[in-house]
Amino acid sequence: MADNYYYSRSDVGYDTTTSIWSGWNTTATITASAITTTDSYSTVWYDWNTTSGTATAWTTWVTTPTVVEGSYSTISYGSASALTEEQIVVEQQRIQAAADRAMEERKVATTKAKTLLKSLLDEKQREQLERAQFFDFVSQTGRKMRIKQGHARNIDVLGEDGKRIQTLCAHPSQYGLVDEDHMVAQFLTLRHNENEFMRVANAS
Amino acid sequence: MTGELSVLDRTGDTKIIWDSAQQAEVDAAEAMFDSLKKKGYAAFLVTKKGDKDELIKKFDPKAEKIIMVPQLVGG
Repeated sequence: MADNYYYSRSDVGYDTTTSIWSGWNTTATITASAITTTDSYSTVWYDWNTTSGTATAWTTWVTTPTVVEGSYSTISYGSASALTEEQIVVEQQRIQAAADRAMEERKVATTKAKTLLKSLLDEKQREQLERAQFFDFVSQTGRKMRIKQGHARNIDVLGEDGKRIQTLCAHPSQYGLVDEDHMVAQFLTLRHNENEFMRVANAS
Repeated sequence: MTGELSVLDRTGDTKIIWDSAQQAEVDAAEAMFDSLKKKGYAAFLVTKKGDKDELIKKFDPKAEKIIMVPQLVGG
């Protein structure tokens, strides 16, 4: 495939009756000089990503310009091969730095959430969490439960013998919380608002 | 006496601290509390020692710590 290619604006016709929305979703219907044609090339998306000498997608968007059939403009497309090796290295470093930053922020969030979770647990539960990545507690209605490290399908209802009899799944709707924050929410809700928890939870 | 509103979020949690003797700080914390409640958050009053926790409906300016938990959904 060529690095750059061109197409002619004669393929693209607009008039004041052609809406941007129809252009966006479909190939445009062109009305010019009382001749209606369907153009299989011109979509707004096509135009949006390009620069035209006579019209850009933005111009089209805000003004719905009239383009005289037969006028031409050149549109060129960039390609990966247009980037220098140095530019590619810089871009890779930028992406890596962003990933490192996100990882560091996640670590800080996990440390904070773990501290908050532990502050709600008694000594035995804290020890259990450290040793086995779960802790046991008694829910508002007196059921013995176990919250395991995680955020989905991580709660077991335990029988008298300590074996799992049911798994529950409900957690905060907010995107991006770390596991320990989910566990805080699950623990507090099961201790003080178990009916609400069971209303939304999936049980299996 | 200072109180702390701890809102669970992607940073772990965000804390809003108020001094119960400063009415403006109490008002700001209460406004945040009410705003989150309207968004469906549940509020749990806890002690900093961790020996007590309870579900609350209204802001308590004398609370040591309140944890705001986003609405739960089934997984």
